[in-house]
Amino acid sequence: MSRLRRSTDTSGSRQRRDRTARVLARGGAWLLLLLLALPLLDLLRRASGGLEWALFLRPDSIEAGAAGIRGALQASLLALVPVILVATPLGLAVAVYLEEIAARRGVAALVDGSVRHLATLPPVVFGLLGFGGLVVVLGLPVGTPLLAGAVLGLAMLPRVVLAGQFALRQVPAFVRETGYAMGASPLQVVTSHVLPRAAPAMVGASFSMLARALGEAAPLLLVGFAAFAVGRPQAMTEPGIPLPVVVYQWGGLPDPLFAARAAAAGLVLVVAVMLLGVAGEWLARRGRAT
Amino acid sequence: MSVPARGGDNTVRMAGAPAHADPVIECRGLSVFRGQDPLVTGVEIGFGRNEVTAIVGAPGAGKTALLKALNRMMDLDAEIRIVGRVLLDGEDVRAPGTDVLALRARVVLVPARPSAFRQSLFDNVAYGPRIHGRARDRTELEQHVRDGLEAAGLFNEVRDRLTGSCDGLTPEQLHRLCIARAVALDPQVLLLEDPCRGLDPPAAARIEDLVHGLAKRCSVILTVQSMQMAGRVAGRIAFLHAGRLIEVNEADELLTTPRHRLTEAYVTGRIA
Amino acid sequence: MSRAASVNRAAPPALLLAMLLLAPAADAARSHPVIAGSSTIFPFAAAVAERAPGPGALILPMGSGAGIAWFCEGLGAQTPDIVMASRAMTPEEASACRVAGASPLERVQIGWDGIVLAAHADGALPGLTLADLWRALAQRVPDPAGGTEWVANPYRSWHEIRPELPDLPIRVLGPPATSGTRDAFAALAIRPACEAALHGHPRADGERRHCGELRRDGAWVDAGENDDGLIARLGADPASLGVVGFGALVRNAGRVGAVCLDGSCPDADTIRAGGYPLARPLYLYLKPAHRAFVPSLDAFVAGFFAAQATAEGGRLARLGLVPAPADAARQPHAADAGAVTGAGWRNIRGWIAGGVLLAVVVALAAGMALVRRPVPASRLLEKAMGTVLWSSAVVSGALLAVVLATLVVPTLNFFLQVSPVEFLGGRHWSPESAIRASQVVGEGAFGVLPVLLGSVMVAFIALAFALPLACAAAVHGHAWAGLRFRRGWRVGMRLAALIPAVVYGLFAALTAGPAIAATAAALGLGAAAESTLAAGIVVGIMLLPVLAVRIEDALAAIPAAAAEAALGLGATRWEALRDIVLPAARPAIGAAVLLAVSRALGETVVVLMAVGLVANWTLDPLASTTTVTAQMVALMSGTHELDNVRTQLPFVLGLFLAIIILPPNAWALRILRRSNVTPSPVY
Repeated sequence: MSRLRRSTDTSGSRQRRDRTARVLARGGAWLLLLLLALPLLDLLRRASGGLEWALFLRPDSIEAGAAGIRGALQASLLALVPVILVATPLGLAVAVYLEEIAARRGVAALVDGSVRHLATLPPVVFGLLGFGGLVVVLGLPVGTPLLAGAVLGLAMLPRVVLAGQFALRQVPAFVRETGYAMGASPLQVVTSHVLPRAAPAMVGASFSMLARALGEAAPLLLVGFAAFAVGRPQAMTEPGIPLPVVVYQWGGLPDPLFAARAAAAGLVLVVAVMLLGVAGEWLARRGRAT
Repeated sequence: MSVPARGGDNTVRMAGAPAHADPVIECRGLSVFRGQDPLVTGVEIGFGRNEVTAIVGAPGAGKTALLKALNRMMDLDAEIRIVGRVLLDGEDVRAPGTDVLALRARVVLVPARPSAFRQSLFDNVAYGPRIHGRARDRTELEQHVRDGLEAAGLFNEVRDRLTGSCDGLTPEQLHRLCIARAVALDPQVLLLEDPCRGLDPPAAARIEDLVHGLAKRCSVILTVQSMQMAGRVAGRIAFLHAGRLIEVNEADELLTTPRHRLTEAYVTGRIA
Repeated sequence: MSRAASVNRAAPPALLLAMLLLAPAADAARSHPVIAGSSTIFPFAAAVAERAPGPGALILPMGSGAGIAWFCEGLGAQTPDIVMASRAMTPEEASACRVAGASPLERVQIGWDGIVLAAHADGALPGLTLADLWRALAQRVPDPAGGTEWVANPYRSWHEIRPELPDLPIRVLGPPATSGTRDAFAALAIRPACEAALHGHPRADGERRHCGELRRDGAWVDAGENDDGLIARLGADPASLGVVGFGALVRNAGRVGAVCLDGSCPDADTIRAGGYPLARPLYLYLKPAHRAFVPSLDAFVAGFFAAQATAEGGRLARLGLVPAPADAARQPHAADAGAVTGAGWRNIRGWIAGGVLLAVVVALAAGMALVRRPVPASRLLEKAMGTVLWSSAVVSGALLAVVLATLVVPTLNFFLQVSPVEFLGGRHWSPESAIRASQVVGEGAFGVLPVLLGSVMVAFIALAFALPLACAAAVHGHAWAGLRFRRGWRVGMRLAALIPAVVYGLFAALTAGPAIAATAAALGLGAAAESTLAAGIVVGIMLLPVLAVRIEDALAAIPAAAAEAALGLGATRWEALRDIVLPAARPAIGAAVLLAVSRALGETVVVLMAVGLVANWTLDPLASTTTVTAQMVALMSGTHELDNVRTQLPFVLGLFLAIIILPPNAWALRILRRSNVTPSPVY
């Protein structure tokens, strides 16, 4: 028998252990996928009784047969407006300032540190902050997309800053050095060298953040969105309950038709969130490729 | 021995002396593909016993693929496909039923980027003997470790801190540690991937000396980009270009009288 | 490009943005009705509002007490126009209204309600007397062993109260202290029997103070403001009774039935005629001054009296409203008019809001316009842009500081009244306490430990469930899977991590919870439908993708050369992973786990939909429990004046949660930075 084929006892059992580990790991991966699919499959099954075209056309109603998500969808989309127009650009601007311009001391260091830690707070805490700061102090109208957007924007702001900083940190140092070597000022280096490189990651993360904001219900429950809005909001200050809150409310009602409606609305929510998420991944990747 | 094709035609044909009287490892028609892309094409070469052989070539020439095919490290990448035969002492290492782990204990690879395991110095060097069950007791294990460290010229420098972590090692010491880790297995063949990468010239020179000296214990096959360094450490040089073996010869001969146009161009620095 | 051109370019978007955001904030007036208060009236109000003309109304079911408190904070767009009250305003509330300038008010009786003791349709409880109810639910009762002293309620089973009653545990789900139904229930069902029993009692004066207090040992469960939600919880727990409005009984006929009280069963006739002992009027209070900016107020009120809706089989009748005759309904209330204060103050707040927003928006628009193209090396421009970026940092910092202060202030107030030792060390959580001075609710118990235990158990179960799977999947992706699989896998996991929590909440409430309860029952174990286990597992499923990605990141941060060196020595993949990669990645994996734990502790919607509302000091994963986050939402009353312990509580819990979560998170972030892993902030 040849030397190479004479596999020693230890080596055989080591190979067996390797194979076992591999099978277990693969099994774990598949089980994980299965478990992730479970809630979605359950949603699909339940949604079949509540998904109909009229769902998209009607506003909410207290009667399950007449309830729709038109108002909720409109409220959710309007609520994204402050997130897109204020929270995201503000967060990214702060990221640029902290990462590229400010020295790491004084106010900048303070903001940097607090942002990093606030980003790890659960969104529900921002509901309290939103109630105290936005509703009681600033007097934003309850139950409106304006307030929803402001609260969601507040909850997302530290995360956007962090995402922006991470994107900027991915830009290699030589890019900046190239700029400085040509005598550019710090801001010129940022605008013409660093930002174009960091933009895809920033945009991609912003889209993911929007997707999260779209699906977030917890902070809204604390600022008076556990309510019923008649009709659909035509403006930022008209009453509208965002979709995830409506799903939450319907899911807690005893009428089985409402449960089906909740599942159908949840499905719509998942699809919308996935669209944003996929768009984010696509933009980030497309930016990287070019 | 084939007739050298000096200058003139552009065809890539083997030059030099592929056959070796008593090769420890022999490649026959070895090709390596990643997906459809060939990394190494039809290599025929024998590596001599207790000799240092350098595989030289530009980046992307297929040096590493060839080196890693020798102890089947390439198998670990699912996208790699290998054709041809690699014979270790005349036995096909790719034959079914081969004990790959035992093969790798005999033909040990040291990757280019040196890295210490996050363990004590002692455990780093003892890792190979341990997983292969080479030591029956602590004394034997210590013997293996000491042997490896001495062969790598590291023992005297670290004998007092064997139980400490590897954090304070200089880059050169780290290189030596990686070689010690491999030598502790008392391998038949040592595969070194670009062993001096990233070292300053004096340190590189000392590692070169070490590698040169290792040939007393085992056969050494290394990849390197620089023909000059290959000339300093290796007895024989194989020149690889675009996945093909262009020329193999005694180092002195290949450096002074390259037989193939591409070899000559590489030796004189006209292609890189 | 000239400087002027770039400024011009900046102007239109800046103006547009400013208009878009400031138009509403500067002019805080609204034209849609805001209606708050009783959740008993809520369905009727919603049904009426659905058909009412004019802009869509906002209806907030927050309980009569909380609704009236908010309503009486003053006049203006920031307060409700109408409060739904399932009881009359107390003199105390009316005077609060007067002091804040919200008077004069108009009161409209829209109908009648009977407080119903609802039981699961298969429930076995026959009729009860009010005296039974008092003995079962009062906090203090005469000592059943005899003697004149009254004791804390010892009864566990209905059988102990009267031998004819079945041997069922006493568990009654009812609304919290912010609810008018609770006040009315205490006043109509508990207090009279208590007073009667105290008649001629030697220590009547001492005990009378407690008349109307409900048990706080778990027999009475504060189950939230929503009647229909309470019925849904009842469906999951057939042995319990629920205290709800008559409307909830009508809407859920077939699912639940009513327990008859003192021989009278609730129906429209007994309620209207007064035969049913727990009948009560339902009111709307409205601010005439708000007609100025909400023109549709009267049309809304008129909707309650539309003959079509209130007639037999009409919309409101189907929802369970027992209508009052329209002619006798309307009357002015608290006729003395007070000065309108508060509005000016609120305007100032509007202006502050507008100013801050304007500053932010202008700064941003200018910054964006400047950033858009390479700028000439002008010192002035440099400076301007630097200022813009600097001020956005300061504005964000200030914003965050202000909102943090909003957490701290109510918390400090809270601890002036409740000892921190009780809060942090107490094992009894029964937070219902009076939201106004005259309310008889009894002292709340604010020991946060059982609530914290619930949160920790959910997080522990979630991690115990998710960690092995996520590790296995991450290891598979790292060591064995092909490159293409790995790339797709990572994108998939990142997307899966975006799936909203409310979807998992639905899964937990509708499928996982009942399934686990049924499985446990089949195994002979008693399990609540809202078990900690179900919540933990579903939160675990939700954490899977984030955890898998983070662990894989931790593994990927270890230089591949280390594993390769081990493989080169003849180690198997598994050995290289076990001996080399995993030990090196352990700190980063630990940090990922820490972040996941804090995510689980902060998870709100899933636990809100999956766990109960009662704090149980138990380690039994099959029992129901509550969590810090669920209590935050359940206790949030919605009143703007945070002037008592009950309304401050959510803020205290929020700060408590933040303080628990921040240090481990900070530690985790430090470890990750040292390990060269950048955790995506998205998740």
